[in-house]
Amino acid sequence: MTLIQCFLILFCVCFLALYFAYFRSLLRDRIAAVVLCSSAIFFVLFPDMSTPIANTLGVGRGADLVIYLAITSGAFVFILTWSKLLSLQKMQTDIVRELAIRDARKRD
Amino acid sequence: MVDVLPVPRKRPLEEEMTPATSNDSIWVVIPAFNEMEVIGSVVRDLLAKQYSVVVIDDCSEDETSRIAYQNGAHVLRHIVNLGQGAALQTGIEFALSKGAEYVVTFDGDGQHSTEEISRLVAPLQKQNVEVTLGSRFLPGAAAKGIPAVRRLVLLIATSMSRLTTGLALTDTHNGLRGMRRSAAEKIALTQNRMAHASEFLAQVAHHKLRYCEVPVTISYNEYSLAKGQRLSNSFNVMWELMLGFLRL
Repeated sequence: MTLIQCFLILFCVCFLALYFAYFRSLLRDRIAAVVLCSSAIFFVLFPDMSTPIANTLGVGRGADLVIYLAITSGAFVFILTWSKLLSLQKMQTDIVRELAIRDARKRD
Repeated sequence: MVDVLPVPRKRPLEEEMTPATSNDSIWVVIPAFNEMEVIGSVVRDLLAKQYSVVVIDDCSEDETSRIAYQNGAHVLRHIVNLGQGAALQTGIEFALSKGAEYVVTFDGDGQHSTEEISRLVAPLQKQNVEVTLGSRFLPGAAAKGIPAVRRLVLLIATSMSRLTTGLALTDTHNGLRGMRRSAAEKIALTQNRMAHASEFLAQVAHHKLRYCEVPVTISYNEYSLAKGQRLSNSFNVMWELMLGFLRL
């Protein structure tokens, strides 16, 4: 096993550990995270295996398939994070508004 | 024999349109951010006409809250800066909670005249209209001192809003608006920042609220131009709106 393989596997394991430690997500999302990390570790350990899978899917090279998957996953994560951000922003607005109305003042 | 003429029954809509006896049922909502230079005179002018005034201080760094309070307005303060759209929604909700029959939105930078409020409210009281929208570009209106570039941008924005909302308007980004209580209860602005102006129109169209435009005069001065929107922000507004449509 090369040094870069060790580093990438360590990264995947740490990512999964952090995900389970900090995110109280749905079981569905946890399964997705495990599948994602397992696949990543599999392709790190057996990079040549990506090519037959890519060919089956109609993509020329395994590296291309990995890039496409990475871009798609990145976009998906971006949208999820953004959606969470918007929901937090709405929550913040509701709290600030509630406080403003509660503490309204007028000189008698 | 005495002919007794039947007394015409008022339809619910006519009853709803009965004019208010005084101005205190008209709530003027003023979002304000760092407006200490002018907010005092704006509040005084409005209170002199016996309107109910609520200033929403959007986390100003200056003395806006204190000055508005000392001049007799209801003052609400956002503890973090949310934006003009959020401040308007806060003010509308507060006015409704205080029993407002009519809600008027008004800028705190002194470019709106208090005379315009009665013009905005009159159709709400006397006609079959739920929302009135101020327009700088109708006959009888004026936009004193408006820079040519700003006029051009406003015309482009108006054309876009006409396309997206289907409302036949001449001015779509005017801070002077009036609403009956029934309409204000339906409006829920979620665009915290400047895209609220287009969102407001989208909601008028969505709820099929009866609306009309009213010619108003806006006086641009050095202060209001310095405080106003930068043209570059138009792109941000369009971006926010696009995201808003995606969320719908």
